[in-house]
Amino acid sequence: MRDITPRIVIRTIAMSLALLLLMPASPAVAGAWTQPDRGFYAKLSLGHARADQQYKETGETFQLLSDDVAGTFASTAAFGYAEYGILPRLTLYGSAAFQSLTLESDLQRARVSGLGDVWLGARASIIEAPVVLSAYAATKSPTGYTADPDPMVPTLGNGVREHELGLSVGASLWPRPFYASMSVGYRLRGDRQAAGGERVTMYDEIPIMAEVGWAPHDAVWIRGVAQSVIGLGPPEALDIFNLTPLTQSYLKVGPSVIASIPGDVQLSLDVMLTPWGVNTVQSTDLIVGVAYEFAP
Amino acid sequence: MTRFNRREFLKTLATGSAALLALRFTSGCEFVDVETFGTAGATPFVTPQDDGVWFWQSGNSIAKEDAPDIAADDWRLTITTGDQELGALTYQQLRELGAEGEELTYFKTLRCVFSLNLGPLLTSLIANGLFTGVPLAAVLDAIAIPQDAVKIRTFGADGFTSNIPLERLTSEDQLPVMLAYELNGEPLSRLRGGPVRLIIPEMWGYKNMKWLERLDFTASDEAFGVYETVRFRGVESIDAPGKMALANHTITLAGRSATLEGPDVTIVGVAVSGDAAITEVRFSVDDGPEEQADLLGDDADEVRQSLSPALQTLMADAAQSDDEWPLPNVWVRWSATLEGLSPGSHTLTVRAFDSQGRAQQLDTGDPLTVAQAVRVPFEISG
Repeated sequence: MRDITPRIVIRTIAMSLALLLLMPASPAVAGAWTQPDRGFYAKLSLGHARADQQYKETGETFQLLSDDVAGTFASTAAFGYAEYGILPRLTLYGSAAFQSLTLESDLQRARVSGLGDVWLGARASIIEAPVVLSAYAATKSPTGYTADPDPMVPTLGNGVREHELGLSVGASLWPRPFYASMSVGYRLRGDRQAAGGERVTMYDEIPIMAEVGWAPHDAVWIRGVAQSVIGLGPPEALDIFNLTPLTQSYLKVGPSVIASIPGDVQLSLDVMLTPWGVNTVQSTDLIVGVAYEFAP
Repeated sequence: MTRFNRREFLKTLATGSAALLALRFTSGCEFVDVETFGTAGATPFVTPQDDGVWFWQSGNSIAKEDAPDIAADDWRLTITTGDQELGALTYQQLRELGAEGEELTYFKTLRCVFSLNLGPLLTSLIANGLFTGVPLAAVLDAIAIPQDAVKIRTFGADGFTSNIPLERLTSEDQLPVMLAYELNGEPLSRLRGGPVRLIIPEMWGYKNMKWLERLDFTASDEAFGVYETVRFRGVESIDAPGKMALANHTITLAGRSATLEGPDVTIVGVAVSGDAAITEVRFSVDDGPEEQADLLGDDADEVRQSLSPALQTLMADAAQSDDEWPLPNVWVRWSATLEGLSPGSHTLTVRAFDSQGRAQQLDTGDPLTVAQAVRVPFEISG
C-alpha cells in the first residue's frame, strides 16, 4: 500500500500557502515611464499557472506534494491593472486580481476563488533624459479572503498590508527599436494575528524587475522579462503547520510578445518560467492580455 | 473615447479604492470547495508492520531515506536532567528487563494528529497493532528522578522533540507508557521508529517518539516539542493532554466521486477515541433514520478469530484482558450495510460514540477532541 504520510499533508499545507508566491507574477509591468498628463492605460489579463514541483528551503526541487504522492497546483486569474497620469510627471496606478486556485492530489482537491490583494501606487518621474528615472510607492491591502483557511486549502493572500518603495530606470534607444527597463524596490511587509492567536510577521522583501524590448515591426514588440523577489528572512522549511510562509525568493523569466492593433489596443502574450526559488512552487505561467492606452 | 476628466477620475479612483479596501473587513468573500478523497483497501484489525499506513515519517520532516537507521546493538537511551546525565540504557539491557518479567504487550492505535486536517475520509494516517516492550517506569526505577521534575522531554534521533507529563508514568487507570521494541511480534523496524520507540496508549502519534534517544527530566511546565511549540503553536491541548480525539473514518468510499454498484452496498470504516473505547457507531443514508453499524473490535473473541495464529498467541499475552473489550485507545472497524439504494446520488452519515458518553455530532465538532460526524457523498450506478 502507498505511504501517505503527514509529511505529505505538511507539504500540502505549506504548498498551499506558498501559492501566494504566484501572485507577484503580475502581467502588468509598469516600467520606468510615467503616463503623460491625463494619459490612461488599462490592461486586463488572464493568467494560468501550473506547478507540480516545488522548491524547498534549500533551493532543491521535489515533487508536489511529496516523494510518494503526486499533486498539482493550478491558478487561473483575471488581472486588472490601470494607470492614470494625474500630473505631467506623476502617475497613479492600481491592480487587483480575481483568482481561482486549485490544489489537487490523491488526498484532496481544494478550490478557492475570490478577490486577492489590491495594490495602489504612484510613480513619479525624476529624470526624463537621457535615461528615465522614476520613483514609485505602492501599498497593498488584503481584501476579505481568509488568510488562515483550513489546512490544505489555498489562500488568496497572506493577509497583511505591504508597502513598497522603489526606483525604476529605463532607456530607449529610439530610433533604434530597443528599450530596457529595471526596477528595484523594498517591500515592507506587515504582520497580523493568525487564527491560532499568534502574530504572524512577514519578512521584508526586495522585488526586482527587469525587461528588454525589441520591435522587429512597427506593431510588434518582443520582450524578455525577469521578475524576482528576494526574501530577507532566513529560508525555512515549508512544511510547517498552519504557518504562512514568512519569507520566499524566486526568479521568474520568460519571453513576451505585444502586438498593437488599431484603436490604441495592444494584445500580449507572456510565458514565465521559474528557474530558481526558495520556499515556492516551480510554476509555469501563461498570461494573455489586452490593453488600452489613451494619450491626450 | 471621452477625454478623461481629472476630477472625475480621482473621485472614481477614491470610491473604487474605498470599496475594494472595505472588502478587507468583510468575510466569506471567497468561494471555497474542498473535496476529500478516501483510500480503499482491506483494513485488518491488526495492521501488518510493513503496511504503508503505519506512517513512517519523522515529525521533524526529514526525508524518508534519511530516517534514522540505528542498529539494535548501537541503540542507547540517555536519561538526563539538563546537562546532568542520570543514566543510560542499551538495547540489550532493555531486552533483559523484558526477559526478567517486565515485558508487556498491548493493542494501541496510532493516529497521526495531522489526520485531523484531512477530513473524514482519509484513513492512511491511522493504524493499529500489538506493541511489546517494557514500561518506562520500570526502566526509571534505578534512576534518581529529580524531586522537582514535572515533565519528561523526549528526543528522537531524527531531531524531533516532544514531552509527556511525569505524572503519566504513575497513572494507575491507564496502561503504562512503554519503551516498545516489537510490533506484532516482530522487531520494530526502522520506519516504525525502531529499534525502540515510546508508546503512550491514549496519545496522538507525535507523543509516541520514534527512534527514541534521550529522556530529559525538567521542572519546567512550559510547552516543549516540535509540534507543541512550532507546528501547532498556541494549541494548548497539543502540549497536554495530547489525547487522540474521538473520530471516525470511512474506507470504502474511495476516490473523488465514489460510485458503487447497487442496490446493496457495504461500507466500512474505523473509529477510535483517546482514553475511551468506541461503544457504538451509527449511520444513516440521505439523512434518514439512524441504524447501528456492525463493529469488529468490540468483542475479543471476534477479533481473535480474525487474527493469524501468531497474533492470536500474542494477543493472549496482551495486558488487555478479554472482558475489557471494547478497548480504550484501540480502533473498532465498523461496517454499514446499505440496502435497496436507488441509482443516483446519496449521502452517508456516520457518527461514533465512546465510553466517556461522547458522540460525534452532525453540525459541530472539534478535531482535537470530538470530531464532527462523517458525511460522505457517493453515487450508486444505474
